[in-house]
Amino acid sequence: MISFRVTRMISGIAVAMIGLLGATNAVHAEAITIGIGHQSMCTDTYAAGIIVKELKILEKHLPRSGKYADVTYNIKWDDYASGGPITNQMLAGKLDIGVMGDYPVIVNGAKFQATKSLNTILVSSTGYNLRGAGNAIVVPASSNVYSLAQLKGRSISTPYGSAAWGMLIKALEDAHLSLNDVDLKNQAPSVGAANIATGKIDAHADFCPWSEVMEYRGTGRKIYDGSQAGVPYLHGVVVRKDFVDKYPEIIVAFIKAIHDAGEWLKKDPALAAAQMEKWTGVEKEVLYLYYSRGGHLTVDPTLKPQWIDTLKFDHGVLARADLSPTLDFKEWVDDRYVKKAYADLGLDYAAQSKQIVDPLIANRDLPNEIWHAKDGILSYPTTAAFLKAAADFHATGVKINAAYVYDHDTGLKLFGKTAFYVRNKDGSYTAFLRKDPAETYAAKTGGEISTFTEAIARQAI
Amino acid sequence: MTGFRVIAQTVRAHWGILTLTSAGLIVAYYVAQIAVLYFRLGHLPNYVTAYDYPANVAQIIRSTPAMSDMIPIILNEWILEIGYMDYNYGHGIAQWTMGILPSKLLMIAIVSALISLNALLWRTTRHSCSHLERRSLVGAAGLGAVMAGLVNISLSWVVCCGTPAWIVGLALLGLDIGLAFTLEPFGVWIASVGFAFLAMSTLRLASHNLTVQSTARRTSLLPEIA
Repeated sequence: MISFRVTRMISGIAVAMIGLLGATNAVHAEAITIGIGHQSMCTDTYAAGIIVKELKILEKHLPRSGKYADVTYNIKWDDYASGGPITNQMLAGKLDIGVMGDYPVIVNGAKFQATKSLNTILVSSTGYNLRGAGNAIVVPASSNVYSLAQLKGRSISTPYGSAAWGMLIKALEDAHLSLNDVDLKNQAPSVGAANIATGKIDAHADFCPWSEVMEYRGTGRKIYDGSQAGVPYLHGVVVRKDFVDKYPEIIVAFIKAIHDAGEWLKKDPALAAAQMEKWTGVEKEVLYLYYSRGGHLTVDPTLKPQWIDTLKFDHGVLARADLSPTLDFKEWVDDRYVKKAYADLGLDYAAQSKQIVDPLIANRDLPNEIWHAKDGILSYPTTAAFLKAAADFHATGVKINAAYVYDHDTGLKLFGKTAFYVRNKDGSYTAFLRKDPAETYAAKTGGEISTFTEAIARQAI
Repeated sequence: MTGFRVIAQTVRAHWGILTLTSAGLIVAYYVAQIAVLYFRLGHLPNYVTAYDYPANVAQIIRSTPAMSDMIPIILNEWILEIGYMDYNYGHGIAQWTMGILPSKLLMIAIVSALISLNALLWRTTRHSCSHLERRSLVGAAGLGAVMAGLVNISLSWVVCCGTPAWIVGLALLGLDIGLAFTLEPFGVWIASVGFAFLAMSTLRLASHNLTVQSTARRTSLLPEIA
């Protein structure tokens, strides 16, 4: 009798255990959907967007053990033209992760904090330019406008509420111009670029890579680079708090993927640019300007204290224009996940977060480059040698994809064809982004200013 | 008999024409937005995307703990997107889009129904009230329709990274950016006043209609609307 009871009890426990195991397996057999919003027409987001997507880097890092042992992942990538719709889709629960520029990322955090039950967390940066390059003000290539002051009384368009809009406000303030001094218009990047090409607008302020696309296509010329505003330009990754609370390991995996994307870019920038052109449709020569050595963008997921200060400054600009609710940065910024990713990868987060690339210093001794259509990237230690090579190629009709030099004042990488050159008394050349500083420099040193065409014509003699 | 009963009577008697004119007005409202975009930006729409609205709403309900957050998010959900994709840059970038949001569609349907009702009632009462009052009522209904219509514009543009809202549509239609943003906080009020004007005009016309019907009964004439 006793043995019968014991048998029944054991059988009962066994059944219960099988049931429990089944239940546990059901949890493990969960299918996790990861919705990621990115922007294939916003260069600075690539390290957390298109590269991670196309190279399937996230898949490599996704957790597969412990509570994720039997999980199946469904990664859903959605491409957007700007950050605003990504925030809306995150609010609607359709996206868990959003990759966007500094201004939209702030609006994202603030919009979520304005709700009663939802929140996002800023978990990582994607990359930056310390001096703010990436945003710029462009005029039609044939325009006689060379400085911001000359835009007084003229029409300027910009995507309202974007990082470029923020830069424009700061630039006008710095130039002692008010918004009333210009005819400010609200225009989409593609509309602004088309209007610059046809001369329908005097100037257009935009974010990356639009200004460089216009320069590369020969329709526009920069008269102001974001670097002049002196405010860093960065992009970030925001995650819905309910998602990161539930799956912190997935967010750590995502940040590892951003790191790997950066390493892939560094390995062979020209090849990476060509690959990204296929994925995004943005010209490889423009992408090379961003991602090559000395390029506009430093891929770095760390959340540096300076970036938080920058975001606070940007939030002030947005708040003054009533474009953003309040944002509690303490609640919003969380660097635990990026630190964990670095620790898992065996990297020194503290050291990396202290490292900031200043183009003026980092690019000082970098060689000028010509992207030869057949031979790839060719380097020239001096600007004179670069111009001589360009002249030779021009004379023999050799096709070059693009040429790159560095601005004397900011260290920014420029398209050779849009730069201004000062021929110094010793025969050497100094390159400039804008005409005004080139003239000042020439006057000071007794040099002679020329355009790219003029400079290579001189070299050909 | 009150004005409300006249309205109910009119709806019952003319539901077919009311439905048709309301549907026509809804279509006209959205076509007008596209037409303005075409004349302003020079492009007809070249893509349409349909969304799984019920599934999306279910997702919002699942992922939003607070009801107070859930409702505005659901109201912002799209069922159809019509837009212009510019293929000169990258693999294409949406330059502008017009979203069909069920919440806004409902508002526009109500506005359209009120306009149709106004027109029907006005037809009957046009000889029973003074010229001035007639013009005032038409004006009030028109102003109400414009106000409610403006706030329900559902155009968006890549330009407004910060705040995709109804004022984006106004900016896109040519309104000064500063003025558009100044108007934004008053959206609910503008829509409410618009609906109030339309409703008042409808009720006033219904009251006049009541007078017409009473007079008709007294003189043994058949009412035009019954």
